[in-house]
Amino acid sequence: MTTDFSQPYTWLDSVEQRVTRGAHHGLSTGANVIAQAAQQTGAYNDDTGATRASTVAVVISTIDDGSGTLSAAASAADAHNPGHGQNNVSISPSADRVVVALTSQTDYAGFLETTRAGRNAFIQPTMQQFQGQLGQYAASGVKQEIEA
Amino acid sequence: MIPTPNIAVLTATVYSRLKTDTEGASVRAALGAGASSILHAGDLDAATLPARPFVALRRGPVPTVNRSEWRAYFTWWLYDSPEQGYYRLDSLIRLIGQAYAARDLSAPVDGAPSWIELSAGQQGQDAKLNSLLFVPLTLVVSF
Repeated sequence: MTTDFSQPYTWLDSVEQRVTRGAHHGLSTGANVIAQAAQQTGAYNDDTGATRASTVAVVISTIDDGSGTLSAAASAADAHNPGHGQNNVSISPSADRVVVALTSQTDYAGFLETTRAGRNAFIQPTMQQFQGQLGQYAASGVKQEIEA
Repeated sequence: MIPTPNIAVLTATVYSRLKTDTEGASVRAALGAGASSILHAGDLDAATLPARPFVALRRGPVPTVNRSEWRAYFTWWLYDSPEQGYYRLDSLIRLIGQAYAARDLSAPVDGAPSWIELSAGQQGQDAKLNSLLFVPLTLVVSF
């Protein structure tokens, strides 16, 4: 005797897609909050404006890989400080995760995070400040998607 | 009840674990000039750096999580001379972990911390600090 599970599997796949879509949209709200906080920091001197102009937070999932936003941010860095724009995010979309990435798209972003015991750091501190709220944003988005 | 930690007292407690507490003795013994090689990051001056290896503490954010938990981030920045490589710094990571594991941090308010987490970051070299090698060591204290 065999049992046809194709319908339950199809249903489970659709649920997974809706959960991913909901989490992505919910986390996009959180990403905007995080990006605004990071863009308002006074942690560095902002000599050229490149760091601030290229600071973005993106949500990466099978819904959207964030490449458009990341590329535009790197171009913005170049516009302010020619030759110093760079994509610092290398995360491929995967069916089993939804990722929030905060970055500044310059080739000296890592230097700012570590020099002089983190004196100019803002990427990591901002993520530390807000990462505890990301679960709520994801859950809120999933709830909206499921109830729609 | 939402815990309300005294950040100034908590920072002093985290700092003194290595600077003066008995549990930090092995850390001080492994530094260039004992307690004199332990400082706050705000006191770092490239012109007058302590004897290597040395460590500097910087407090990070103290966010609330779900309105029921506080989480305080601290980073010990471990520094050494380039000719030493990272060997002494990697050894310090274990000693610092043991110093915090030896005894619970006394809480400023509202009972003891619920948990403490320590993790080492990526090795690096700081051109602004005489090209010293560094390793960041993040301490997370939750209430």
